[in-house]
Amino acid sequence: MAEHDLIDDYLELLSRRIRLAPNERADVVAELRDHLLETAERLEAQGLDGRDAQLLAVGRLGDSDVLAGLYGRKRRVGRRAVAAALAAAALTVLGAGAVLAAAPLGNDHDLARELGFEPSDVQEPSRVEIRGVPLPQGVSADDVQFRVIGERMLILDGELWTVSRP
Amino acid sequence: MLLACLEDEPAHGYRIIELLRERSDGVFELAEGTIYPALRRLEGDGLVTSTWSSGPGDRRRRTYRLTTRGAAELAARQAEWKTFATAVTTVLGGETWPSTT
Repeated sequence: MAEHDLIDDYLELLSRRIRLAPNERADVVAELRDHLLETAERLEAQGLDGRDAQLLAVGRLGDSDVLAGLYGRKRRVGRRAVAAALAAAALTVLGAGAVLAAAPLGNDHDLARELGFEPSDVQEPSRVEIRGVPLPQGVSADDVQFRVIGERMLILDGELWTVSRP
Repeated sequence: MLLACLEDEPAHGYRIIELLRERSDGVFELAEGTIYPALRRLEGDGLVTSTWSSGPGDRRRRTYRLTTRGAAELAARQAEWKTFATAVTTVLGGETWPSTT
């Protein structure tokens, strides 16, 4: 795979959140990079295009914030709690979408901002689609061009957006 | 379960996840990332050890293997599980445990 900018963006987000000594943090990022690249390569070999392969790889790994939080924990986190947090990450944000049902939708950027997302400073243009995430009433997947890939992350017009609200 | 994946040979995280998926008949539902902090804890506990090598391209690959303590721990847990499973099976089968045959 020639480019893996989306994976790099994800690792950048993760790296910022991880609370470990710099050398340990670098090791974690290197290991996860290997994993993500291997996943994406295999998906591409199965016929996915490069960008979708990266998206799926990142989505399967899990929300970068939650994952970062699992490092440096002294006590074990219950497996159920972890699974629930990671699996539900994509749904959490758009749960807020129910409130937006009555509000007129501008473009996708407006909707993303309504949900509390702001463009992060890592950007890469490409087109992605929303999949399997509950949408506000009256909005169909064809209308929306962003994808929630974590509790604090989504992709809109190929840009990686992160939650800015407290 | 992670320890069991390393029983036959050393493996890196991706391979461990593959094994977990195969062995659990696809029931493995956790986000894949969770195994990495878990492996780190196992290493901190001295049950596995890891080595770095160069992967494809400019990648660094971390491979894990069981330590002697890890192998012993795995064996102990497997024995426990077997005892438990046998007890459940015989109870469900209507026999009392231990079965007398």
